[in-house]
Amino acid sequence: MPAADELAARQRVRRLRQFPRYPPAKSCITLPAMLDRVAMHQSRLRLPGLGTDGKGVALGSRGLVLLASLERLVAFLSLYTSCQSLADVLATLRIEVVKSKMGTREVVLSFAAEGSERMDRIAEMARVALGYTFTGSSRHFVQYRDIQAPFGYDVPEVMAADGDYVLYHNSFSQVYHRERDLDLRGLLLRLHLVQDPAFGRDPGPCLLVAEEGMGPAIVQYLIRSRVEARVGIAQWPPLSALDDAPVQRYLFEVPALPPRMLPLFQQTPGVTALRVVSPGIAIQLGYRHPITLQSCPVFPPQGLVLFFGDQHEPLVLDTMPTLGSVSAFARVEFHGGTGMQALSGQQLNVPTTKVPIRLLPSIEPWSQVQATFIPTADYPTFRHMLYRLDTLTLKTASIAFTPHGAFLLNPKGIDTTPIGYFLRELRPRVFLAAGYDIVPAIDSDVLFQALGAPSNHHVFLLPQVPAIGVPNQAFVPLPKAMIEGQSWAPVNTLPIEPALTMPIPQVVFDNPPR
Amino acid sequence: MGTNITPHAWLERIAKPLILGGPLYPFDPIGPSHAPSLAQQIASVASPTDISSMTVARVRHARHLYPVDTLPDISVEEWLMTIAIHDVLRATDPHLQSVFSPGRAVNILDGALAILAQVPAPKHTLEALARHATFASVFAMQRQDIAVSWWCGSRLYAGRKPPDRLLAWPEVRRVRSEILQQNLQSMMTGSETLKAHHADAWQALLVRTPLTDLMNVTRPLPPFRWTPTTVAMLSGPGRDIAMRALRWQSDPQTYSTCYASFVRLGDSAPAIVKTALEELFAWNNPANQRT
Repeated sequence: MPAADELAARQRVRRLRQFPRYPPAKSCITLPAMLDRVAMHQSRLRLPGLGTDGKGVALGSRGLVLLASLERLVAFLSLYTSCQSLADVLATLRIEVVKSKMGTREVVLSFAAEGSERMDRIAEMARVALGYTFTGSSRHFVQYRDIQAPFGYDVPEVMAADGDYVLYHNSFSQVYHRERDLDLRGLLLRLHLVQDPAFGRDPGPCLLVAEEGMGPAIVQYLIRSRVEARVGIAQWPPLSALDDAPVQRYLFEVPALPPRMLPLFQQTPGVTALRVVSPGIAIQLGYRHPITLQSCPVFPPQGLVLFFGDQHEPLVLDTMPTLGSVSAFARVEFHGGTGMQALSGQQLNVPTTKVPIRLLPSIEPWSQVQATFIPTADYPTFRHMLYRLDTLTLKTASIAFTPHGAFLLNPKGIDTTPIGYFLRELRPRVFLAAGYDIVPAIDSDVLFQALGAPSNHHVFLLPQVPAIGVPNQAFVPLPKAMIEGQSWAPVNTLPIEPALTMPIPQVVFDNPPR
Repeated sequence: MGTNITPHAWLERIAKPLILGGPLYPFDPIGPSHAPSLAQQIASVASPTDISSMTVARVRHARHLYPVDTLPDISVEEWLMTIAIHDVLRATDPHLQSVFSPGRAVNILDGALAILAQVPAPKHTLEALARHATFASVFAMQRQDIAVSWWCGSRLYAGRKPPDRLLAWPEVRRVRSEILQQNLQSMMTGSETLKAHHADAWQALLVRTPLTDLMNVTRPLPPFRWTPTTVAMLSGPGRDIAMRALRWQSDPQTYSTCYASFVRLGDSAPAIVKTALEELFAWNNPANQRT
């Protein structure tokens, strides 16, 4: 869970503690107390299985939280997991739906009490979720301590009842019969994700699930973009009985997906981007699970659980598919096999006449300046400049990011972006630093041949640096690359139609209609 | 004149119709003794949801005169004026006047004047604009009367719906009903004294919202006259807004009405009014504008 969410949850708990939903018991209407307060140093208690711990607090072997509905249970779990892990209570945790004699169904969450510190913590959470906390042993549970009774409560008389749970509270005593068990894992899988545009915007490990047809294209895209990733094929049984073959999807594990690729993978049909929140659990970007899954170790780490948005059912894989580096799928090329013999040692001794190409400053006026190289140090200035660019530039410019810096192309001229080192176009896809000439003064076509006539690369010649080739596919429209995703939240609108239609006030002496 | 009116009921039945339009259902007369506490209560309890829809309409009215986007909330003084308007409207109910209490309507109108006496004139232009925004629709107010006649009699239902039994068997009983729209002037029926009291009450209200006064120069009731507050608007920093209020009206009688009122002032007529009238005349007749 992001730190901001955790902070917000803690603040909410603190606020509710300061301003409890119910007034303190002193100001309540005084009801006949049904429970006895345990006094300091009291050792004999009436409720079977109830004893006192080292601090003198009445405590049984188990704790119990009574919640009115499943929604309250989800709220309780959400609050609890936002602050701490469920791991310490998970081994003894039981969630049951119980039924009272009056026919009402409620949810009981029981666990090993272990100590008053844990019980205090859980009681606070339960109070926020409008639940009641009890302590006791096998069947009989009495209200856990609160501000009125710092050492807890004891019953004046044990009730003779045959229910599975007999709960004694200061305001009620109730007998419950167990109806069914609730599986926490099943509950987590059944909860729909909620929209959260901000989720996944921070850098972190991602999973990409791609349709079969999209897989190879994504592999090549990741290789071209120098993004480290692992790829595998995930299979699961068909979702419909009408399908014979199992469902097969490409699964990519990307340890650090560049932020510029997030919108692409979020918007491309057939690809779903998910954020790994803990080992074996991933949630679709743009959505959030109501409960903090990192704090619920109910899914085996060797498996994989994928939570999708749009009310799709989550996907549970028992084992993680085998993954391999995407570089293994890179295109391979073989030598032409012309049959020419290797050079002999005698030939090697012939002094070579070939010279490297050099760049020398020139006083010739600049022309065809259609690109610029922006070093990484100039990125902050470039970001400021983006706000001042005109519509035409934003429409026509494209940019590619490399480890050296960014290359910005604009066929309409680069003069609107006065930043970086300008480059002029010698011939299509070959650019030379403005203010420089090539020596020897060869023709641009000869230069192109000397560069290996790359058909799928743009080549940039900069002084003091070897020629840089950037794949054509690395150039993306400038707005798409630079504008980050914007967060938004729906608000309730007020109807203004009455104000705009403005009927004439009409005096009526009749009584208004009910 | 006691009252158990809740702020919410006041907003729904009086304030919203007054500002947003629609049917306005008056309560029993409030009176000057209960008005301050009720105004305080409404000002403090009114929920933001109720206020927001009225604020949209108020800003819309205010923007006829000045490009503001926000206005101060409706003040206690404005709520007092709302209560006074309510009592004046209530006084027009013919049911109030009976043989046993012939002067009841006059008492209510006097009470409304007493309520308005607690409201000072606006202290600055923004307050005048806010008051106008609240009461801009007042002079458009109407009442629908239904005159019903049948084979042996007739009756006028002022602001009320005639009972169904009276309209039953229309052919057999030769029932005819006629709808009469009454404006602020024709709402009040009765003696001339009563009508004079009625006009005085509206005049007292207009003194406290001078921009509404200037925006409704050709209203049927009360006749326009230059008051200290309207002259103060023309001579202070709100002059442009006041002139805009005068120019806003498309009625050709606006200038002549203002001029007639100016002439009645005689020697005591302020020069600032004369300048304003010249400007208004030039505005209405561009050919006569001085070069």
